[in-house]
Amino acid sequence: MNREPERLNPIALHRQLAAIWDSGKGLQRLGAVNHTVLGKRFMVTAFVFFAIGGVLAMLIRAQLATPHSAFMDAATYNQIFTMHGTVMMFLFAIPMLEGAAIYFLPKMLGARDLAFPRLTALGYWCYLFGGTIIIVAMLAGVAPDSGWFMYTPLSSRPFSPGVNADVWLLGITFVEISAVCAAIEITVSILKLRAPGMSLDKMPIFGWYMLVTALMMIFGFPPLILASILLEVERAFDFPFFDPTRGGDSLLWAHLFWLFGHPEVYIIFLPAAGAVSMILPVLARNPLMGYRAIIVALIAMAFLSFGIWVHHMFTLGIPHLALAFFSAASALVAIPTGIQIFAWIATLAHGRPRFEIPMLYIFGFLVVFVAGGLTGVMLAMVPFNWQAHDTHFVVAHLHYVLVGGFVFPMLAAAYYWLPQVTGRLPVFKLSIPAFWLIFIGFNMTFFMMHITGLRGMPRRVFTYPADIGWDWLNLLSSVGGFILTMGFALFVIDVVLQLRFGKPFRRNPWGAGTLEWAQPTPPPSYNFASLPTVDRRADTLDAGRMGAELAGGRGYLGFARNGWMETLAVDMTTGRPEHVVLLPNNSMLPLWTSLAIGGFVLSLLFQFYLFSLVPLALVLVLALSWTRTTGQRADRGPIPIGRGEMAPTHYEISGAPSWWGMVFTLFANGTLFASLLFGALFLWAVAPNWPPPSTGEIGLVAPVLVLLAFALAAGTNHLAVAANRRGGSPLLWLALCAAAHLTAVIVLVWCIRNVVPDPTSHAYAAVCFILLAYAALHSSLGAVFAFYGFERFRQGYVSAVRSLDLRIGSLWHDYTAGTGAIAVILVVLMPALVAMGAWQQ
Amino acid sequence: MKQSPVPARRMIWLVLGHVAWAAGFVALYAGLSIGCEYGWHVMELAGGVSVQRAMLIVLFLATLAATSVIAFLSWRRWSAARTKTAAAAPAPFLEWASFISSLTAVAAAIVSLAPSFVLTTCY
Ligand code: HEM
Ligand SMILES: [Cu+2]
Repeated sequence: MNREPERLNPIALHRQLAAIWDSGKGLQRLGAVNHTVLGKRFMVTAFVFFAIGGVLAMLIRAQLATPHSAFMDAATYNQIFTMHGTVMMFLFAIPMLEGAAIYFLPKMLGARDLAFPRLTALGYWCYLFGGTIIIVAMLAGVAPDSGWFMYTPLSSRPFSPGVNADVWLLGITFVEISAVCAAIEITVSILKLRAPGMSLDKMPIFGWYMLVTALMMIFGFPPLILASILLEVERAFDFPFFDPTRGGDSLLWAHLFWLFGHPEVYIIFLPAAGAVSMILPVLARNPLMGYRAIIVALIAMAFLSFGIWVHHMFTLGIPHLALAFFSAASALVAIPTGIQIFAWIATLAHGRPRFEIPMLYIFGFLVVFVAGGLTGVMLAMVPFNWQAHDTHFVVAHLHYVLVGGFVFPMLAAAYYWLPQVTGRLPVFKLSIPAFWLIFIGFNMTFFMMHITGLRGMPRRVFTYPADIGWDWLNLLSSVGGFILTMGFALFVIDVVLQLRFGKPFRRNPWGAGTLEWAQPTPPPSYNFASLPTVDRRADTLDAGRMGAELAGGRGYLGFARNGWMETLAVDMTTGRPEHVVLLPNNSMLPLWTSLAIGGFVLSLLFQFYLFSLVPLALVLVLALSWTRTTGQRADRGPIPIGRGEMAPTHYEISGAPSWWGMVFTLFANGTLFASLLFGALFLWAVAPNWPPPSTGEIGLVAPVLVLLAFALAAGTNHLAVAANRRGGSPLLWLALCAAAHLTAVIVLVWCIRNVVPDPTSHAYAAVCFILLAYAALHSSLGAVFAFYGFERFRQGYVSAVRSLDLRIGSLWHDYTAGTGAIAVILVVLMPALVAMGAWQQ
Repeated sequence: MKQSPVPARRMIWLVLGHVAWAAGFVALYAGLSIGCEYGWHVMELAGGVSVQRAMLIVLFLATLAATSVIAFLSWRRWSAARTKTAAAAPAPFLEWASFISSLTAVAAAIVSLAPSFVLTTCY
């Protein structure tokens, strides 16, 4: 069994690999997990949402074209602009960048797929269903209408009594969870699934951009997920987190939203900039200059972008000095952006640029984005911000950055990579008139808004009086909007023509030096018939020569074995081959699971709270059944990976992708928990109407019991791992671990019911409730993990060597014990904190 | 299994300086908000310096110290790694990037947090 399979000729090798990796026909397509298929689905779906968002934009511009327009009433207008912003940000930009990353990363990094293919599929379905819920709500006339940042109290029950806000909170959270899944998968894939030899300093720059972006998503999205959960709980059960009359604070929403919202715009911009950093050097015929400086700039930018969320809140009454901190950091963040722009200019200046179509769009990107960056620095200055806040000047700024920084680069990317995706080169040149229509139309639409904004026109108003100097500017802007739309229509026609009539080509039409061009085009489902070795920076490779070699099976894993979907994992830093990852095959489970999650979301939306437990239980059962096809029942030892080398499978090593997946999941979860702690302390320090009427008497017995149970759960699992490593049985320890968790859950539920005051009475009680519920939820899942380890051992999937299931469990138990202890201790200390509150003095 | 010559945990140095900056940033913002709530800005400590101002300056200096120490340590690691050959990849790159990254964290600390010395704190 451990002999290397014999070498086949390229055609036979292709047939065998395709038989293993292809996604199937007909209804089987619904079970596809392949990253090429799903990446394309993501991008096409995102483009459809872009079209929907664009139609909404046209409606907005139609309404604002003339004063006193009778086209829409105020209520409809509210829905339209809220939906436009929401669709563009959450259903177009984020999924589009995810789709691009899902499609391209394995190809650029030299792997056969991403680390968790079924998770990719789950993410796609969650996105599709979440997006559909929101669009259907709009068609039914109950779209969200509180603006894309959903400020409370406007979005709270008293001021938004309908279901509109719930659609946003539930639907967007559904989509966000999919985004976090994608981010975790992308992070692990970049760190582990690269071509052998591709050390960190040889990675194509897009890999670095996406690594930074994905990590930002892991830390940036949880605050919004938490905020949405809290607001939905407030709307559904009247827990007053954001209600100032009962110790809540609407400022808390603003903080949590923008803690997500500002990083979000960099999350959107960075992948697009990454695409520019890939395209521009090829067309300049000069390797990217300042590769290392760009990497440092990305890191600095990632952090700075988290430190500037309050610049969206300059007018909300924040202490003066804090404004200075955030204003200074906001100005600083322009520097790393500038470094990238200078690197691009240097690359161009030292190269021999070819003025191809993608270059035209990159030119558009540079002009528009730099203009948006400049108005951004203006808005970062507090005095100016106070003048321009909530006017159309801000609308102009945000579109210059978003359209300049995302849409233009994505169009460049489309023209650059469409040949890779379709295997065809364009024959018509509609791309040029399309560019000029988009470029002129865009500037005409949005440049005017700077002026209307400075002349005092507020954003989000459905109409305006005549004769105060806004009329002709708005009319021009609307005309520009329609020119812009015609440009996009031309783009769509051009792409369709390319798909239909484009002429095939052999390989690498741009003469690029990255691995995605060392594949056949369009790419086969398994990407590479054998995996490349990289010995220099992976954007200076000879794609043509490598392509032929790899197709001939002369790289790693150049064979089909046991029907396995194999790819290589490498050491994170050096890129040395480390182990073989056996990927799971096509499966309907992601679809069923996301349907069950969708059922849960819909039952909450229609307020069937008790019934919602049914789909929730279904989600749990389905999630457990994901593991039925993974794992191996015998130790296999190292197996051949080609080139005379051997490596173990991922079940038999310590740092398997799924272990890292859990680590990053817990980072995301930990950020959510940290946001919750922040919320608790924020309300205590800042919210009005404290102290609470009563703080409850939790005593010490119950908390000590819970802490002991947590310690026991984490400890017993470590003993289980140790017993397993020695070849003994972990079953007793795992049973104890589950029992400890269940004890903790029981005591926590008792505390919630008997000690915590009525959670609708005051934010204090609501916060205690949520903290304890968080611990209880994690502990119940801990019991599931322990039970799962128990079963896996019994079924023979776990051995001294194959301990992955138990060690992943360990991460969860340790995390639960740590956060649970913090939650319980905070609840115990809260009454003391209340006693020393500032309002007491 | 063989230990990697460049363990993954070394990548943490890429971000350590900025983590310190972020921690300091949050501490200053939190301290400032709590201070304004409790009226520390009107409580004189000594010589016309308020409790608030003293706390802010201490926090600022602590952030500066932490980021600087990290920058210094990563400079030392880089000096040791820069002479290694290309076979040690990506160690020289990693140490260089960590050093420059922590330098940018020091700069960020100074520019974004030094207003603690001068500006009025609460209004
Ligand atoms: C296709 C051309 C586009 C046009 C003509 C357009 C037009 C507009 C207009 C006129 C508004 C202001 C509505 C108001 O405040 O009354 C607006 C808001 C907004 N747009 Fe666009 N837009 C376009 C594309 C985009 C894109 C590509 C994005 C994001 C990637 C985007 C994101 C937003 C956001 C976030 C808002 C704020 C919504 C709110 O205030 O809640 N837009 N857009
Ligand atoms: Cu911002």
